[in-house]
Amino acid sequence: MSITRRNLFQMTGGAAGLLTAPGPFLAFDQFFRPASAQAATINVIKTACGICSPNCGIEATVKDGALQLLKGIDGDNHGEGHLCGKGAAGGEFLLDSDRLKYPMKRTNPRKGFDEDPGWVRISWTEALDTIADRFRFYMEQNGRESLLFCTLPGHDFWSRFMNALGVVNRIDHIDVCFLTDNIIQRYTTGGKQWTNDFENSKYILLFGWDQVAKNKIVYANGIVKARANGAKVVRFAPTYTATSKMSTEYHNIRPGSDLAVALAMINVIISENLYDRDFVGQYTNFGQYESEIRTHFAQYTPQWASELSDVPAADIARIAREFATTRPAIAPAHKKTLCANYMNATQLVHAISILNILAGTIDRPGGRYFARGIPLAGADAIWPPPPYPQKLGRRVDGRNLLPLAEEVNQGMFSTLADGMLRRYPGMIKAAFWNNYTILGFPFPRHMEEAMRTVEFSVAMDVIPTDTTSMADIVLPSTTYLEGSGIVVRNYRATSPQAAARQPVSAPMFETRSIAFVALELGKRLTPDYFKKPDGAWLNPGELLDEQARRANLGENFAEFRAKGRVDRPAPFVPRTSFPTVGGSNKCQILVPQFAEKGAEPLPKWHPKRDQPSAEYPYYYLTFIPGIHKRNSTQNNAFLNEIMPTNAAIINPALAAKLGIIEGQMVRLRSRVGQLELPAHLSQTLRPDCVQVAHGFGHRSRLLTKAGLKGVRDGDLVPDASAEDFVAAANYGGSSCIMDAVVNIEPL
Amino acid sequence: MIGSMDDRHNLARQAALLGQAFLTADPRRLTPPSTESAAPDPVFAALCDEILLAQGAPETAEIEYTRLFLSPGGAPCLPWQSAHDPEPRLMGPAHHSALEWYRRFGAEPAVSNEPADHIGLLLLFFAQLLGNEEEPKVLQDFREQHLDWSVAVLDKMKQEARHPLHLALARATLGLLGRLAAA
Ligand code: SF4
Repeated sequence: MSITRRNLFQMTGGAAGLLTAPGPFLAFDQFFRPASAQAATINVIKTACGICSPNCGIEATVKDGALQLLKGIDGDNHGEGHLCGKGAAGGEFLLDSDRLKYPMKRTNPRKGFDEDPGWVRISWTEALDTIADRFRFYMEQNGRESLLFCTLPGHDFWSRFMNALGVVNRIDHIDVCFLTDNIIQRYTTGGKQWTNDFENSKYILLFGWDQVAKNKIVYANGIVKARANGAKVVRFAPTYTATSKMSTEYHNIRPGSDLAVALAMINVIISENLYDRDFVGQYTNFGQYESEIRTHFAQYTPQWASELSDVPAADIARIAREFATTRPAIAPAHKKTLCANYMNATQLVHAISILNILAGTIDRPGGRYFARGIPLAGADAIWPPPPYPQKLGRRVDGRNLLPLAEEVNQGMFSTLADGMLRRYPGMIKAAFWNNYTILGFPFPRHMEEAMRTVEFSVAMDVIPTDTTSMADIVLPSTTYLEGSGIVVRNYRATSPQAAARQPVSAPMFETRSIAFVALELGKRLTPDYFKKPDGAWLNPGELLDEQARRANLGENFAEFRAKGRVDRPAPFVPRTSFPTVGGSNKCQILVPQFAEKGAEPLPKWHPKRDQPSAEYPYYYLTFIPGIHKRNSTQNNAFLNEIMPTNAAIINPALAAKLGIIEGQMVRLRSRVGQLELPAHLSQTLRPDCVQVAHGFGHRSRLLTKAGLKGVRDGDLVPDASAEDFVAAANYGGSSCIMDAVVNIEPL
Repeated sequence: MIGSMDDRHNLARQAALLGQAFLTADPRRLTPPSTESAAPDPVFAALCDEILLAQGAPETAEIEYTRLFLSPGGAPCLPWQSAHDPEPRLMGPAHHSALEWYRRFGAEPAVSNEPADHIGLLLLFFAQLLGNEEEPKVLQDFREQHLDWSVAVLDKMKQEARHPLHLALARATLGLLGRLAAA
């Protein structure tokens, strides 16, 4: 029924005759409709946080479509009824007035942070048609290798689209995150695990691991419970954080030397035969390579490690013995605080994995569990696609030189700029950026230069980031609070959960999800891959229905959503078979396959790349503050108010030596750049270090709260080429996100 | 007090066009009243002229509309009332208050996934109140609660606008608000 002023008047029961007034008020009908409610409606919606991987449960109070409050849900086994600061501030992402609202195109061809892009609003149809036309053009003219997709695999439809297109150059940030752990676990234990059973552990050994300070609730609570259960927690790190405070013993280790300590601990445990003989004998390849292993580690004495790390040799030996004999024990690895910091991170992660194997706690209570999740069928299993085309073309980041990284198809932020500027200049003609900003790259300045060489860029994001400000077409993205999905919580092996994510608000303005974009671009460029057997187009809603049904969560997604959550508690049955790559179902201490792939079968000592010198005497440390998620939350009004900018954190003793006082501007200089920022004096770090928080220094003037505030930590950190990584035995592709040394000058 | 019925309807007509102009990037979708029916108000007449001129080269007006109101571009003149609260955000208290007003008169915005306190919607609704011959107290309350905030934004818009259409729009809206305040 089309609404006319007359029937609107009738429908509104004569409400003041508002719309019957004479005169030129036709526009009113265009922008208003009859009221569907007399009063405000208040809804309480249960959904899941989407800021980080635990997907903690959320209860959202919504008034008239506007989010009022987010809080935790009891019974959620990750958040345990709580949200961290980021989770609680989620509404500020949804309602940020800076949000990208409509698709837009650039009208000013000159690109740069100081250029006004001359955006003009366009329709989704125009945006998608333009993207499809340009991508088709470049594929025909320059081959598939000319397309760059900077994105995680994301939604199943998005992966399908990239596979159908034969995209060679999909780049993601995993090398600045957990790539090294992923590779090492595949070969040493059989799979990357985030499932640490802290609660049942009696000895927890933390190399850099800092998840209490990062506010990751599931881990922070795990450490708290472990302490309450009498566990000993030992932490090695150059900074004293909330995690150090929660530890029983803290060692102020020299940056980049954790590997030396871990190698020496392995030596003590093996040479004194303190390892778990049952586990090691039955489930590992120790017996097969015992003599090589013993000989290899014998060189790494506690005394040797002490000189490199500043940790007393007696403490290294004691902690090794305690770790091996206080059962169960665990040494977790986690992303940024360990896996990607230095050129020697791959070896460190391998050494930590060996420590866990020697403790006999791989998939044992108190150790590193294999996740027991609730498997969800993927789109390709539900609607098998036609065979995907071969991915023919050159890999711009040179990842092919690192076969172990190539196998897992992740990375490489760290070598992308080098690839675009030096290895294959001009090869990338068109790029699609999905929720990534330049700030996330180890040396953003190079990435900025690299982006300027691309003829046509699309950026899909929630807010106008640095990447967006360089794009030709901007697509506004929904947030996790505006979409539906099934999240599986598996950080607790004995009680996995599946929870329904559902919108707390309709997508604001004209924002859309990446699944929508995949489907629409798929229809235009690879239609055969987006049809069901009956010829109808695939549909994200039907995918959820099928996934819910096949996982026995409900007859369809609506039924599952009505339940909100499904728990699958099960008795814990420890694994007796470990699906290592080439490892005959055993854990591998020595990894023979590594030798075949140009890597070291046992972890060797390698120093970090950049060492202090007369010119650059201080270690440079970076960190992600617990109140922020990497580089994506600085424009959130609440989080910005709590921490709007960064500073150079310097130990007071060093500050006194250099004549620096609190708040004084200082210049930090490394071999690749310099930063000027205020000093903040703190006893929390060693006097030979300076520390800068990541996530600040957004150049985009379009971010009204975060733009032009603070400095980019990455501007001091050299990036690298794939050849550099090979030469430095960085075969796991650690991004070296804080492998730098600096000079400090008061201003 | 707003004077005669003609005055009221004249103001209502102006408010309706201003509201539309804030909600519409493309000037070709605006229909200014003919010169004869326009009030002898030079500021409003200037806006009508600029609309007609902009219809000849709409893209520059659309770019400027996007820059001023939509971000990215720093959106110097965000058109939502809640975005100018002491704790700025979309869909804040002003959004809810505007919705209450609309509902009292049997209406609500045609799209529910955008804030209800857009200056364009507020002006359109006010035009209806004027045309509907509501009590002066009702008009005054609505103006105080939902229009007066925009004066600061319109002043900024006068300085920021790079297109004569938007300069004229800011001036005409300020003119209307000035007359209402003085009435
Ligand atoms: S830890 Fe915080 S940010 Fe991460 S999912 Fe939970 S509430 Fe969200």
